[in-house]
Amino acid sequence: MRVLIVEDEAELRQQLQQRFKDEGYAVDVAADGEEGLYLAREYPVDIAVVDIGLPKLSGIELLQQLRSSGKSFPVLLLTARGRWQDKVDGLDAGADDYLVKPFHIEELVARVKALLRRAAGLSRAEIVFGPISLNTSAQQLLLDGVSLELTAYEYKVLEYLMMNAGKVISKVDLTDHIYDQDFDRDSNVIEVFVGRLRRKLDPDNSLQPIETLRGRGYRFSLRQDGE
Amino acid sequence: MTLSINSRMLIAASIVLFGFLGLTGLTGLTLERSYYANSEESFKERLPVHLNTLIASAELDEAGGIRLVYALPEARFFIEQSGLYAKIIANNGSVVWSSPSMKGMTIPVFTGLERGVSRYQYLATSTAEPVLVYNLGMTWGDKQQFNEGYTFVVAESLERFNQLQLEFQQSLWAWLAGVTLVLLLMLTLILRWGLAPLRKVAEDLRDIENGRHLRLHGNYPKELRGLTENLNALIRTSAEQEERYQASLGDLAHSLKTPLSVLRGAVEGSQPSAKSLQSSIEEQVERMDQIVQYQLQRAATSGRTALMAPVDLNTITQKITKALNKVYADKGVVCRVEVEAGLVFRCQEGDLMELLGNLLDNAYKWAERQVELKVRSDSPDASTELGLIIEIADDGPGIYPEDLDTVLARGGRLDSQISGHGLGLAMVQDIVELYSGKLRILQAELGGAQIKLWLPFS
Repeated sequence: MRVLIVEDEAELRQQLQQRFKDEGYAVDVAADGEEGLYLAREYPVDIAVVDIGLPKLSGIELLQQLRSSGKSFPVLLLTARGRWQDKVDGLDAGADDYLVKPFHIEELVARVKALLRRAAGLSRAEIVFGPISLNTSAQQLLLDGVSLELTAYEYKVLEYLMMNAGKVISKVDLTDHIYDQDFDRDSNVIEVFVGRLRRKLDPDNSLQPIETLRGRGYRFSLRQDGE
Repeated sequence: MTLSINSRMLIAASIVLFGFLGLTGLTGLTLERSYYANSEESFKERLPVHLNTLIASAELDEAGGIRLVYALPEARFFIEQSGLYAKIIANNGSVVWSSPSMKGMTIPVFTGLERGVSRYQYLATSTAEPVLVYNLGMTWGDKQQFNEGYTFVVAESLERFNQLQLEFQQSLWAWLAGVTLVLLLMLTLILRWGLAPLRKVAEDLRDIENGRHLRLHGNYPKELRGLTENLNALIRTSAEQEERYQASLGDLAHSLKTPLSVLRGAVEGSQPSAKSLQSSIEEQVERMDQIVQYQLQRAATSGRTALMAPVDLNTITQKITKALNKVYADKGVVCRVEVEAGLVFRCQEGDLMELLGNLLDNAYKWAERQVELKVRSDSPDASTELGLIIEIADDGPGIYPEDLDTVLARGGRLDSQISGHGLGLAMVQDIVELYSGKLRILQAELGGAQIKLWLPFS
């Protein structure tokens, strides 16, 4: 998952960047509204954390421009002012949630995860497809109730595919959503991760959770429970 | 560009004045002319009378000349240069008779008029006296030839006439100028008198600026009373706001000192463990955050002020519930809203938003699935005046009676286990007090807490 952080306070920006990296996100950071708008347009951002009080372009204006240019990824607003007028204005401009400063970073991370789940149409932290169950909060994978170990990148690939279950995801898409912008794009690495995931999730090749569509990409093709 | 009232009045008055002056001038000219025409007419009528007297007293003598047989009744004919002159000239050129008043002067009169022909002439005598001359051609008996005729001349000095004209003109224009002056003076006085209340407002405002007075005082005319009363209200509100800012600032500084002392104590204490230090910092930061938030919000709350626009309850509740539905989308809370159609309340929109936002946020936070919001205009009991009644209920765990004081205390929070701010109800309590309202916490039919509040309309 790729998160964009737009915050002008350098210390806080860095804390957030580090924290989201530790959580396994690809992180883009911007120090002002214009840079934030540029990054949001250039990269396939999955979620943005935007401060309201930004230089050059305010958080609200950035949000309005994003929404009017058709970007619909969730946005969480950070605000130093706790006035309801500001909150209502922010949510009205297209934000999905807000957090008043100072906040606990854990709370921010939890809200970001909740927004990502909501955007994927999931209501709980646990995504279950037949025997495969992925807990996005604990970052834990269970196969038939048995915990499986995944590397950080294997987890990222699987989470992205499962959150976009049923959709065709190209290798470039996957790379974009998993790696930071300075990553050297080598799609062979994605093939390696997918291969490893297949062996771990489906050792006897009976479930076939990840389809390969030649020349187009991958698709997580299991059906969700209850569907 | 907006013209000052003074300039507007001055321009309007000048236009009226110029109009008036124009009219006065025209009136003056017309009066002058008709007076002149009248005077000239009566002046002219006098000359033929004199002439007729002259003719009546003249008789043809045997030598064919003229002689006066009766004395002329007008004495002025006999006083030297009296201003009334007469002359009889034969049409062959010889002067037959001239009045003694003409001694030492001549009138360059045209000689020789046909019988019965008369004419008036404005001339000057040899002594430069302006005169009006009346001539009449005459013959006697059977001597009908022009050469045998005479021309009778009567002239009267115009000096007296001109003098009267001048006097009339002078007094006429003096009068008109006087009236204009009086009018101007009156106009100035009226303007000064009419604008006096505005000047008083300006003076009073200067006094307020200089700190000599706290409000506009004195009796203002009813046209200004709306303005002055609202100004007074505005001044009072801004003074109150100022006081609130001061108080908040003082409270803020003082209340931050306690957590700061705790932190200093923790750092300076004997070898504090990293863990205890961390929890101490965590706790005090949380406390300071709450203090700052509470005081900031309190300072920003304006309360009832002058000139407040009515806020539409339907619009504002819609905005807030829409925002909260977004924030609590995961929870799937259903909010039932019942707002009386067309209901408005005069207040600062921010205050009402703060009030409803905090209450509804609490309700959404605590609710299992249902929140209910009812807004109507009513009085809670017979003895209370009409006001806005807001009821917010949820199906959450409710508030225990023993916790009520804590909930309403500054920064009290029951919800520390749920993210957010524990200031909600205390803030609401403050706003309700600012609007002289009442707040009650009850048990909701839905099972959770019900907050019921009443805000009087005025």
